[in-house]
Amino acid sequence: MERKQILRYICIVAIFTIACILVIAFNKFEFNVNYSKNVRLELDLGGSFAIGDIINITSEVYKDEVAIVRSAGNYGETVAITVKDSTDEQNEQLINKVNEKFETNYTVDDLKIYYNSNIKGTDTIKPYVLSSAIAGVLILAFFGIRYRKLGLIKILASVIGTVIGTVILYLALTSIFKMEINEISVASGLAIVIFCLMYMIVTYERMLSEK
Amino acid sequence: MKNNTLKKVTIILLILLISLASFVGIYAKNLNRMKNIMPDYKVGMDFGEIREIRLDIAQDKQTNPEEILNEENYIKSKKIIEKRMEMFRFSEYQIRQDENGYIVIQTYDDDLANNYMQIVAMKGLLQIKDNETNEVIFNNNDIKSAQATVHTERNNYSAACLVLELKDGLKEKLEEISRIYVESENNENETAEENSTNEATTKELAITFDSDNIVSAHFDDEVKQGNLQILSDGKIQIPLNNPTTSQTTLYQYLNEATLIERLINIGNLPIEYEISNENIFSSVLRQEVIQVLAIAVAILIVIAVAYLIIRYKKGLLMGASWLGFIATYLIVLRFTNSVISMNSIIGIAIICIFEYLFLNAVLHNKHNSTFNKILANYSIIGIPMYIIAIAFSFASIIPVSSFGIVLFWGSALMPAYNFIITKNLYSEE
Repeated sequence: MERKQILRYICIVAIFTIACILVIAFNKFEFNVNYSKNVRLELDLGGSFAIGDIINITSEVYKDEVAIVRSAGNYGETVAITVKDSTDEQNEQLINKVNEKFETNYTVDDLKIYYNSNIKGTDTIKPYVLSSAIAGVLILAFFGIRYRKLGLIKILASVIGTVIGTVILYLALTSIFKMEINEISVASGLAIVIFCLMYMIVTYERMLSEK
Repeated sequence: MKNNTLKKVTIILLILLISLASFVGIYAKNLNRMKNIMPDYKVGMDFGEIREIRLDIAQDKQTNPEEILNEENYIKSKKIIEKRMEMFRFSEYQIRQDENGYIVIQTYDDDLANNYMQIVAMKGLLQIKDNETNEVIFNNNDIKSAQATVHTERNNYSAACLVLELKDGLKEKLEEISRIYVESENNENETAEENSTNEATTKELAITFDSDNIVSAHFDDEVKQGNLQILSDGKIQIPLNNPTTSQTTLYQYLNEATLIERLINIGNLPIEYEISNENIFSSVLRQEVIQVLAIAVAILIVIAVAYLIIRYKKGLLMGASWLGFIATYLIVLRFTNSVISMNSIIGIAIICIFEYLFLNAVLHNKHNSTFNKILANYSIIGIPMYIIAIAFSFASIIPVSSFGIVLFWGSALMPAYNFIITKNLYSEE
């Protein structure tokens, strides 16, 4: 009976994992404006602007799109707007609104446009690999030593399985709900893994005390 | 009983003070105005100023012929730039490269970026060539390794030197050229007039680094600027300055030699790039953004504390303890110069949630355990977090290390704070 239950559990987990992997494979991830290909528009306003006004103008022009607005240059004289894409019409609209707000006569030609390629996913992940590998080995060693009475292989397999499963589930949910991959995505994943491992410790401590 | 109340009131007052210092600041008069004397948070690239350089491929067909402009060389160039960034200890940077090989480097704007960003983009090509014909005799491809050294003579005169070890099989070629590029012996002891004509007949080598001529030299036994030496182990020694007793001059030339040494050892870029644009961008964290974030966090904290107050009898005390913990933690992060990046915000959230769960467990206490027992249990539960904190703290890249460092300080603070503050607030004695 117990063996049947274990088999059923393994089947459910396997089907679930395969489903998540398929979701990840066929659903593209959404990267935020910083990580994806983007366009940066720079306009030298001579420093006479409030960044809040530019943000308002940008949100009117690009509506629901995410735009990063910064001042640029040695004296903050330029405004730099980074968006995923900007059409000629949007550039024109942006300039018109800036002229309207600041009573200036800029033209689209005054707008410096820089096209940036995306940041490779491997470049983002690479710095975490060594630290994660070291932490992974040490955590496995801890689980193996502390809970060896519960069955070394079983414990190690369940820790590895749970961590991998959690990561796959996290990626699948990110993909399904079109959550943007951004600066905090890796750390958020790590946070979920940490709490998952903590929960496993609570469970194993209870099992250990019952034994 | 009276003593216990007094103790709790004192602790609450202490928490209030810590919270004020942490969230509002400690203001003192400085140059006729009030200034917060608490150290500022050290922010990373996510929240700080960014320096960006854009590298375009040099259009000169001589330096960048059509056949070298391919994907393999683009990728190689990017990898070499990454190695240089690591060598100069840039702890936070992003490199983008498009399909045409153009590169954009962004890094946190500090002195390091100011001094080395442009050097990172150098081609790094060292050439030893005939001064007259410009025929290249040796270049980076023939060099096994480079080393910056100081050559000191008996009278304490020193020169900064670059010592190059050539690849195997090039020793004969080196010996051969050392016989060609020497001062003509039959010119010695002749009149000054004759010397001037004979100087032209002495064949010299030009040692160039990118487009800069480091030194024009010939082989000799004596160390002085313009003289090359073959060392006993077959390496070439290039003095960059005339022997001097001035430490400042020596230091300046040694820095130059060290820079060349590092760039040679990493390798030169297969493609020559030129900086098309360099710019500094302000932080995205403006006063109004900070205010909105602070309000959002405050609302979350209020909800969490309200839950404790409604759910448990001692909820108010534990809520105060949690607030005190957050305040103390933020002060620790200020004083330890921990870098606040997007990742470390997640780290801070993990610590605060873990502390909240601990306080919940203390209040819930369904097994009637002692405070120390619950604290010990939570110390065991936190072990994966401590391991991750230590493993990540040693990373050289800020987004990774900042996450580890905030977890580390939080993990170190938790037992101490709970033992000193929370335990005394919770206990009935």
